[in-house]
Amino acid sequence: MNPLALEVERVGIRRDGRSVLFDASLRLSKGEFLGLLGATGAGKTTLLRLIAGLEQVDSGEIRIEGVTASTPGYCLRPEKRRVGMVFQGLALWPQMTVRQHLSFVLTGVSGVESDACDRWISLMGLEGREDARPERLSGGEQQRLSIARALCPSPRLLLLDEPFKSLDEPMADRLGPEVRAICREQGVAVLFVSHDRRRALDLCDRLAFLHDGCVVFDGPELRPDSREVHDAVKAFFEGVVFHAGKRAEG
Amino acid sequence: MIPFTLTGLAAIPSAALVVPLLWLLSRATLAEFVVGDTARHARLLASSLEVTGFALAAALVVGVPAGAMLGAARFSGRRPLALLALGFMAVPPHLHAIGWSSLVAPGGVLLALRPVLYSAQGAGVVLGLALSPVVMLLLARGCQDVDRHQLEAALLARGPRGAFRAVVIPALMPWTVAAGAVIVALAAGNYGVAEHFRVHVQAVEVMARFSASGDAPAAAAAALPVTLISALIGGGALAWVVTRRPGVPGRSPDLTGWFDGPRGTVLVSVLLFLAGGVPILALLLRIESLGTLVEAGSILWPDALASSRVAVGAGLVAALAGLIMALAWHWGRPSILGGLYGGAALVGFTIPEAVLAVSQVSFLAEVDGSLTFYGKSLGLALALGLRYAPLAWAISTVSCASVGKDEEEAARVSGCGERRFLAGIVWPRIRLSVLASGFVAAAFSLGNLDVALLMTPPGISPLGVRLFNMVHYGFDSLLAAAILLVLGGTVGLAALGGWLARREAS
Repeated sequence: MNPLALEVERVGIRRDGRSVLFDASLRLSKGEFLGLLGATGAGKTTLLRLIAGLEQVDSGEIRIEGVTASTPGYCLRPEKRRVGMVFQGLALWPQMTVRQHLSFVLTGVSGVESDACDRWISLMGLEGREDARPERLSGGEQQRLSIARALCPSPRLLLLDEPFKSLDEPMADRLGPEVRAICREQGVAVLFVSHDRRRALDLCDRLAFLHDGCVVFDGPELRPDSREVHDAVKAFFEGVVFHAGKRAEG
Repeated sequence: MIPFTLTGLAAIPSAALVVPLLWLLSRATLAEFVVGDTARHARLLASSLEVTGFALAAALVVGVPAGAMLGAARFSGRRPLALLALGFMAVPPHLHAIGWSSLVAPGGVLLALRPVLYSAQGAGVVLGLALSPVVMLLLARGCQDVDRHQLEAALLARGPRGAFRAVVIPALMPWTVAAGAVIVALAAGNYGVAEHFRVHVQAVEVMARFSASGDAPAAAAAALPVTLISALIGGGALAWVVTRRPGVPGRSPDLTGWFDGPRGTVLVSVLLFLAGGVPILALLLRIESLGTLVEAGSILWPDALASSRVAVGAGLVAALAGLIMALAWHWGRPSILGGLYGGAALVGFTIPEAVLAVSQVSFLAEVDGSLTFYGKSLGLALALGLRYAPLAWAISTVSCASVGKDEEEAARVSGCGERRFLAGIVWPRIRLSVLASGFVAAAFSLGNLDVALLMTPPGISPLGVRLFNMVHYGFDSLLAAAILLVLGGTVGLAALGGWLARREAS
């Protein structure tokens, strides 16, 4: 069995004659929590969309658990990939209640217990809000619902696109480790896209840095003072003091 | 597979709309388009444009302020007044015209104004007032696209005028244009009001020529200029609107603070009185006693039942055809065909009703030699359903556009195939619009004149046609009561439908 949850091999995509991603490569093991950082427009969200199958690659290959999911001319349908995704804009369905969101994505998923809906509602602290529609939920509750929707069908890979953006600091500080613990417990690999340097350093097992469509850093320990580190990474982490590859103070 | 199936299914109503028109065009010779009496045709075109222009002006003058207030002001009675506007929209314009003309008929309270009303301008204004509820309801919906936060940000930065220019106008503009396009398309091809006020327009000419000679290509060719104008203005504007992405309806911001409270109630009531109250009051003045209403009811009952059956059938046909075409437009493959179907719907909507009816009837007579459908309820329901399918398509397609791309992607990533996406995400979101589109089509069908006149053999008169013909014998208490009953029934049904839809939405 392939221990790798995701392999992105030299993937590229062009839009309007411009390379959005160029030879981007990444590997992600099962249960691993990888932070993908980079400035605005670096191609982070595009890479997530390619992995989810929402866009087609122009070059390279994407494999999920060893099975080819995308090559130029072939794109496994998103619903067949067993990938969960938390969208930047959340993309909740306005006509559905909290419970309906979860039961909708759980319908037809094999191996899911009948009380899975209640378990996820309780796990995400949404008790008492089961019958509320998104417009009646607070920003934090919407975010938790979005995470629950992505995680409850037991995906092989979870893609998080700025998942804590609309949460206050204490809520994000609480929810981040909780999501990581749940994913670790279930063996779900996570690709976490963020601008938030501090949270990425705190949560992730490994970091990758995307600059102008290329992965310019990928490793468990980041030393921005090292000579080999790309200038864009140094600029991104300017002002953060590191000890042994981990953040000491910001 | 489903996207291709949708596209295949949508070909049926699209072909049913376009093929008869193409057939008619192929049968017409060039000589028929070269009109002999140029001066006469120029006069007909001028009358058609005059009626359309006055109708557009009247509908916008009454409909825009009332719609903006119904959508965004806070005053008591707002919901009942909105339901009343919905009810008035369902009343066929020629019944409005009959109500107005009873005011200037012998014994009427405004007899001196008869020459004003029996003119192109008068007919245009009455038609515009009858159609103004369409503008009101579209504008009221448009107000929900005004983003509260954007409005507040603009108010802080630039004050009320700047906010109005930067946020309110851009949000309402597509809806105003859509409303104007609908009015142009409906008014340019209207037959009933112009005929009632003895204004000879091109739609009247088409019906008169076809009835007299049965020569469909020659009849349709007589309306070519107004058909082109209607298709270009109406079709162009509607195409612009449906290719824009409307916002997801939210809670309307309060745009008209000054009109909150009793002022708003009074102003909207006055505008609605003009849009539908005047004909009702005029007919009420004609009724001698309550017994007349009962007598009229007992006379009309069998016709009303038969016409309602046809209208319900037409509503179902229109809603289903509109839904399939809208789904194909948004999610069908190959997408170019979805676009073509949208174009067919626009053509069907903007072609004058008389021309479309002539093309359908003559095409049916050609292909159905045994006259299986002619004069039958099913045939009439199919013809009326197709007539209003483009309207249903417009309502459903705007509703489909409110399902965001990111929501679709979230469904796909969550493991939903096309079928579950359409059934689980799209359908719950658009079902009220589909219901509304069927209802609107049924209400319009109930009072339809053109298609009903041409699709029924002599001796059979659908309700709208029967009332229209009865007016030729002059006004009396019984006629006024009969028309009032139909008006009341239509308004009541429409308001009930709106209330039910609102109840489900909440």
